[in-house]
Amino acid sequence: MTVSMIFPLLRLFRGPSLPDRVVALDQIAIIIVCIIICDTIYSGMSSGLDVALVVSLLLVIGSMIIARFLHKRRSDND
Amino acid sequence: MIENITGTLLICTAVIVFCASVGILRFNNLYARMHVVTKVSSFGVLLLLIAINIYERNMVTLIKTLLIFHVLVFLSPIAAHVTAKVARWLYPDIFSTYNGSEEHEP
Repeated sequence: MTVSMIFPLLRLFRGPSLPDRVVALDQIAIIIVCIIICDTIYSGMSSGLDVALVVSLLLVIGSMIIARFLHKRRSDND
Repeated sequence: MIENITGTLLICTAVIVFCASVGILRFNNLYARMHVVTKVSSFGVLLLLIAINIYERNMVTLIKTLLIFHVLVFLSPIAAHVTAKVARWLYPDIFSTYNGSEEHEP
Protein backbone atom coordinates (compact mmCIF):
# COMPACT_ATOMS: atom_id res chain seq x y z
CA MET A 1 0.00 0.00 0.00
CA THR A 2 2.96 2.27 0.57
CA VAL A 3 4.26 1.28 -2.86
CA SER A 4 0.99 2.41 -4.40
CA MET A 5 1.61 5.88 -2.96
CA ILE A 6 4.49 6.38 -5.43
CA PHE A 7 2.33 6.59 -8.55
CA PRO A 8 0.02 9.42 -7.41
CA LEU A 9 3.09 11.30 -6.22
CA LEU A 10 4.59 10.98 -9.71
CA ARG A 11 1.32 12.17 -11.21
CA LEU A 12 1.29 15.01 -8.70
CA PHE A 13 4.73 16.17 -9.74
CA ARG A 14 4.34 15.96 -13.48
CA GLY A 15 0.57 16.33 -13.88
CA PRO A 16 -0.09 18.62 -16.84
CA SER A 17 -2.94 20.64 -15.39
CA LEU A 18 -4.15 21.60 -11.96
CA PRO A 19 -7.23 19.30 -11.78
CA ASP A 20 -4.87 16.38 -12.41
CA ARG A 21 -3.03 17.35 -9.29
CA VAL A 22 -6.31 17.59 -7.37
CA VAL A 23 -7.21 14.05 -8.43
CA ALA A 24 -3.76 12.80 -7.42
CA LEU A 25 -4.17 14.42 -4.00
CA ASP A 26 -7.53 12.66 -3.61
CA GLN A 27 -5.86 9.35 -4.30
CA ILE A 28 -3.06 10.08 -1.82
CA ALA A 29 -5.60 10.94 0.89
CA ILE A 30 -7.51 7.70 0.26
CA ILE A 31 -4.25 5.73 0.58
CA ILE A 32 -3.52 7.57 3.85
CA VAL A 33 -6.98 6.55 5.13
CA CYS A 34 -6.22 2.94 4.18
CA ILE A 35 -2.88 3.01 6.01
CA ILE A 36 -4.50 4.49 9.14
CA ILE A 37 -7.23 1.81 9.17
CA CYS A 38 -4.60 -0.93 8.73
CA ASP A 39 -2.70 0.49 11.69
CA THR A 40 -5.95 0.51 13.68
CA ILE A 41 -6.46 -3.19 12.95
CA TYR A 42 -2.86 -3.91 13.92
CA SER A 43 -2.80 -1.95 17.17
CA GLY A 44 -6.37 -2.53 18.32
CA MET A 45 -7.11 1.04 19.36
CA SER A 46 -10.41 2.26 17.95
CA SER A 47 -9.38 5.91 18.11
CA GLY A 48 -7.57 5.58 14.78
CA LEU A 49 -10.96 5.50 13.08
CA ASP A 50 -11.59 9.08 14.22
CA VAL A 51 -8.40 10.13 12.49
CA ALA A 52 -9.48 8.30 9.33
CA LEU A 53 -12.87 10.02 9.44
CA VAL A 54 -11.29 13.46 9.75
CA VAL A 55 -8.86 12.77 6.91
CA SER A 56 -11.66 11.63 4.60
CA LEU A 57 -13.72 14.72 5.44
CA LEU A 58 -10.69 16.90 4.69
CA LEU A 59 -10.32 15.11 1.36
CA VAL A 60 -13.83 16.04 0.29
CA ILE A 61 -13.85 19.60 1.62
CA GLY A 62 -10.33 20.31 0.36
CA SER A 63 -11.03 19.23 -3.20
CA MET A 64 -14.28 21.25 -3.19
CA ILE A 65 -12.39 24.33 -1.98
CA ILE A 66 -9.70 23.92 -4.64
CA ALA A 67 -12.39 23.64 -7.35
CA ARG A 68 -14.09 26.74 -6.01
CA PHE A 69 -10.76 28.59 -6.00
CA LEU A 70 -10.07 27.66 -9.62
CA HIS A 71 -13.53 28.83 -10.63
CA LYS A 72 -13.14 32.13 -8.82
CA ARG A 73 -9.62 32.80 -10.16
CA ARG A 74 -10.74 32.18 -13.74
CA SER A 75 -13.78 34.43 -13.24
CA ASP A 76 -11.58 37.25 -11.96
CA ASN A 77 -9.31 36.99 -14.98
CA ASP A 78 -12.16 37.23 -17.46
CA MET B 1 -10.28 -18.16 11.04
CA ILE B 2 -11.15 -14.52 11.66
CA GLU B 3 -7.51 -13.56 11.19
CA ASN B 4 -7.47 -15.40 7.88
CA ILE B 5 -10.54 -13.60 6.58
CA THR B 6 -9.18 -10.24 7.73
CA GLY B 7 -5.81 -10.86 6.13
CA THR B 8 -7.39 -11.87 2.85
CA LEU B 9 -9.49 -8.71 2.80
CA LEU B 10 -6.43 -6.60 3.61
CA ILE B 11 -4.47 -8.13 0.73
CA CYS B 12 -7.44 -7.58 -1.61
CA THR B 13 -7.56 -3.95 -0.51
CA ALA B 14 -3.85 -3.48 -1.12
CA VAL B 15 -4.13 -4.97 -4.61
CA ILE B 16 -7.17 -2.84 -5.47
CA VAL B 17 -5.59 0.40 -4.27
CA PHE B 18 -2.41 -0.48 -6.14
CA CYS B 19 -4.45 -0.98 -9.32
CA ALA B 20 -6.07 2.42 -8.79
CA SER B 21 -2.66 4.03 -8.41
CA VAL B 22 -1.36 2.39 -11.57
CA GLY B 23 -4.49 3.62 -13.32
CA ILE B 24 -3.98 7.17 -12.13
CA LEU B 25 -0.49 7.11 -13.58
CA ARG B 26 -1.28 5.34 -16.84
CA PHE B 27 -4.58 6.81 -18.04
CA ASN B 28 -4.28 9.61 -20.51
CA ASN B 29 -6.92 12.16 -19.68
CA LEU B 30 -8.45 13.73 -16.64
CA TYR B 31 -11.85 12.07 -16.69
CA ALA B 32 -10.41 8.57 -16.84
CA ARG B 33 -8.24 9.36 -13.84
CA MET B 34 -11.21 10.76 -11.96
CA HIS B 35 -13.17 7.60 -12.74
CA VAL B 36 -10.40 5.50 -11.20
CA VAL B 37 -10.15 7.56 -8.04
CA THR B 38 -13.88 7.77 -7.42
CA LYS B 39 -14.92 4.17 -7.89
CA VAL B 40 -11.98 1.83 -7.44
CA SER B 41 -10.57 3.48 -4.34
CA SER B 42 -14.00 3.69 -2.70
CA PHE B 43 -14.38 -0.04 -3.26
CA GLY B 44 -10.97 -0.65 -1.68
CA VAL B 45 -11.84 1.37 1.40
CA LEU B 46 -15.17 -0.48 1.63
CA LEU B 47 -13.35 -3.84 1.76
CA LEU B 48 -11.02 -2.46 4.43
CA LEU B 49 -13.96 -1.30 6.57
CA ILE B 50 -15.59 -4.73 6.25
CA ALA B 51 -12.28 -6.24 7.40
CA ILE B 52 -12.06 -4.10 10.52
CA ASN B 53 -15.69 -4.88 11.37
CA ILE B 54 -15.03 -8.59 11.09
CA TYR B 55 -11.87 -8.32 13.20
CA GLU B 56 -13.20 -6.38 16.18
CA ARG B 57 -16.93 -6.72 16.60
CA ASN B 58 -18.21 -3.91 18.76
CA MET B 59 -20.68 -1.09 18.37
CA VAL B 60 -18.30 1.87 18.44
CA THR B 61 -16.26 0.50 15.56
CA LEU B 62 -19.43 -0.14 13.59
CA ILE B 63 -20.69 3.42 14.03
CA LYS B 64 -17.35 5.03 13.16
CA THR B 65 -16.98 2.74 10.17
CA LEU B 66 -20.44 3.64 8.92
CA LEU B 67 -19.56 7.33 9.22
CA ILE B 68 -16.39 6.89 7.15
CA PHE B 69 -18.29 4.80 4.62
CA HIS B 70 -21.01 7.41 4.18
CA VAL B 71 -18.48 10.22 3.82
CA LEU B 72 -16.55 8.31 1.19
CA VAL B 73 -19.56 7.04 -0.73
CA PHE B 74 -21.84 10.09 -0.72
CA LEU B 75 -19.52 13.08 -0.44
CA SER B 76 -16.52 12.01 -2.51
CA PRO B 77 -18.59 11.76 -5.78
CA ILE B 78 -19.88 15.28 -5.11
CA ALA B 79 -16.31 16.56 -4.85
CA ALA B 80 -15.36 14.68 -8.01
CA HIS B 81 -18.37 16.19 -9.77
CA VAL B 82 -17.36 19.72 -8.78
CA THR B 83 -13.79 19.09 -9.91
CA ALA B 84 -14.93 17.67 -13.25
CA LYS B 85 -17.28 20.58 -13.82
CA VAL B 86 -14.54 23.13 -13.17
CA ALA B 87 -12.13 21.19 -15.38
CA ARG B 88 -14.71 21.05 -18.15
CA TRP B 89 -15.16 24.78 -17.80
CA LEU B 90 -11.43 25.55 -17.68
CA TYR B 91 -10.38 23.29 -20.56
CA PRO B 92 -13.37 22.87 -22.90
CA ASP B 93 -11.26 21.25 -25.62
CA ILE B 94 -9.67 18.69 -23.34
CA PHE B 95 -10.31 15.75 -25.67
CA SER B 96 -9.09 17.44 -28.85
CA THR B 97 -5.86 19.21 -27.93
CA TYR B 98 -4.94 17.66 -24.62
CA ASN B 99 -1.61 15.97 -25.19
CA GLY B 100 0.19 16.62 -21.93
CA SER B 101 1.69 19.95 -22.90
CA GLU B 102 1.90 22.86 -20.51
CA GLU B 103 0.34 25.43 -22.79
CA HIS B 104 -3.13 25.21 -21.24
CA GLU B 105 -1.86 26.03 -17.78
CA PRO B 106 -3.92 29.02 -16.61
